[in-house]
Amino acid sequence: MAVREFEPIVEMKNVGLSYGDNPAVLSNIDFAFRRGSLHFLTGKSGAGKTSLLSMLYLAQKPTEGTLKVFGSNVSLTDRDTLAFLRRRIGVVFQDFRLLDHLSVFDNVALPLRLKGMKEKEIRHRVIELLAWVELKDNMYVKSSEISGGEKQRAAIARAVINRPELLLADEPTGNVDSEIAQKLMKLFLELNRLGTTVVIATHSNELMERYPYPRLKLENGALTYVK
Amino acid sequence: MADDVIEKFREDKAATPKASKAKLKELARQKPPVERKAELPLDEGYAKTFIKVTVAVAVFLFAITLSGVLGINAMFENSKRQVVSNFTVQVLPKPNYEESRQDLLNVVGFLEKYPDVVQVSVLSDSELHALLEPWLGGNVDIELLPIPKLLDVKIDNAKGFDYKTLAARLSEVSAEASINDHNLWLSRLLKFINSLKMLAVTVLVLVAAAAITAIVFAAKTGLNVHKEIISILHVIGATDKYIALNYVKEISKMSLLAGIAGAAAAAPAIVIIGDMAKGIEAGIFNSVSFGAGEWLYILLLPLISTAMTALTAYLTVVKTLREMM
Ligand SMILES: Nc1ncnc2c1ncn2[C@@H]1O[C@H](COP(=O)(O)OP(=O)(O)OP(=O)(O)O)[C@@H](O)[C@H]1O
Ligand SMILES: [Mg+2]
Repeated sequence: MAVREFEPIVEMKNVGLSYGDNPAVLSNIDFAFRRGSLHFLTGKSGAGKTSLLSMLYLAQKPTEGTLKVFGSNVSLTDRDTLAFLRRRIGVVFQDFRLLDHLSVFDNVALPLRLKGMKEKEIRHRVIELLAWVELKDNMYVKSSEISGGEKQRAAIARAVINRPELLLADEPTGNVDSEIAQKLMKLFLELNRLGTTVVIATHSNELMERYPYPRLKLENGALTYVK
Repeated sequence: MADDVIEKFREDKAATPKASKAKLKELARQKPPVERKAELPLDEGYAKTFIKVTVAVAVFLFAITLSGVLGINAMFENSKRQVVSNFTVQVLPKPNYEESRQDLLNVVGFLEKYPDVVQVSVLSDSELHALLEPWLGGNVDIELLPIPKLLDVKIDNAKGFDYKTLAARLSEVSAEASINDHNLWLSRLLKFINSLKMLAVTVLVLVAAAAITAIVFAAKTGLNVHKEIISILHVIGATDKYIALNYVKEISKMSLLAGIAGAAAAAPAIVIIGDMAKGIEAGIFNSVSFGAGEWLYILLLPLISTAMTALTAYLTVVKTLREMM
């Protein structure tokens, strides 16, 4: 157990990513996220933040180097195992990626249903969380029929409902007013305090200044620390 | 700074009033006002209609063809039983009327004593007359015409009856007597029926192949339409099996309803065809028995088609998913 605690939750060695024949978007990335850490990820638009996160949430495999998530080399891991690894990761997508035809409730319940949790237990958990992100009154509305900020909160609720070990948030406060942004940050911090490793991609200097956690910057395909 | 935010968050949580916590619990116990939707929806448009129509038509055609095959089988079983238990003997006339008569009496006498023969009856002249009237007109004296006589012979031991020996010994009695070999006729009928059955089986295989192709096609297009949903499900941690079962559940429900509709539409058609067949067989066969057993096959068709739909869809979805993320 002691060894595991020091084992990084994500480990990248010489990782590179390119789309098709285009020049590499990311190259030679060597970095490890320690269990329980919280990082901001910055960089200009198009720098590759979403691309980097998408490898971490196992939607793509690196085209160069090795990526280990929870100790598994993702390039050598079979489909079903990858699916089970993904259940330990919560993702807030930049474009939310809610299932539009489902209600807010069903979207947030999804990770629990995948696990096969009992519906009664699901209802308790989902309703409690939705009340906290102030979506309780909209929970049976189709998720295509709520506002951008509400979608963002629904997406965050879906990402955290399962108490993920790794939380990857792509611009999670981009569509909400600063009051709700603060509240969502508090949620991330609380999860981090409980042991979740958190990576937040953001452009918001305000957010980074207010919460002085380590910052990583993507530039020209390389990942560096910001002093 | 971050620490005091966490502190505040804890306060927030602790500050959630007891009353509102109870309210949330109450809310969780209530039944949701809307029905839970499938995570991977079937396409509302063409694909859905396409599957419904294809499955319904396939089951309809299957039911009709199957009832045809079963009906033929039943007819054949009956005719086999009947034909084998009687046959006809033809005695050709001799130039002389008296000779002919004697010959006929000899043959009848021989047959009546032959083992396993139960009854020998001569087709009467008036019966012959009736048969020939359309060709010869009404006022011909049949006695004077050199017309072959027909004997109807009923036998007991139908299965083991040796026609060859009988034929050999009959020719010793009269050079003009010959057996109308029903077995020959029967074997021709059998061949004809078998080729009908082959044809029916071919039709069934083609119908099944068309239905399977339709389902594969619909499942593939359906998945392509819902690529985004599938990739979201994958990213959240759904296995291929979970997604496939989700889809199969939807498509199976639909296929079952379509199958029931197809079978229901086929039922009256089968009854009508059955009645028509009874009209035909009256002269040739005893009866067509399309009984409870046969109807059971027809009732099973929607279930079988649903199982086939489910299996086809499952395999297609799993295969298609592997080609995706
Ligand atoms: N699916 C894709 N196929 C091809 N190229 C892609 C794809 N996704 C991203 N790219 C390219 O990769 C580069 C990095 O994109 P990415 O979305 O990772 O940037 P980002 O840092 O998240 O930007 P933003 O801040 O605007 O969200 C861009 O040049 C983009 O055109
Ligand atoms: Mg991005």
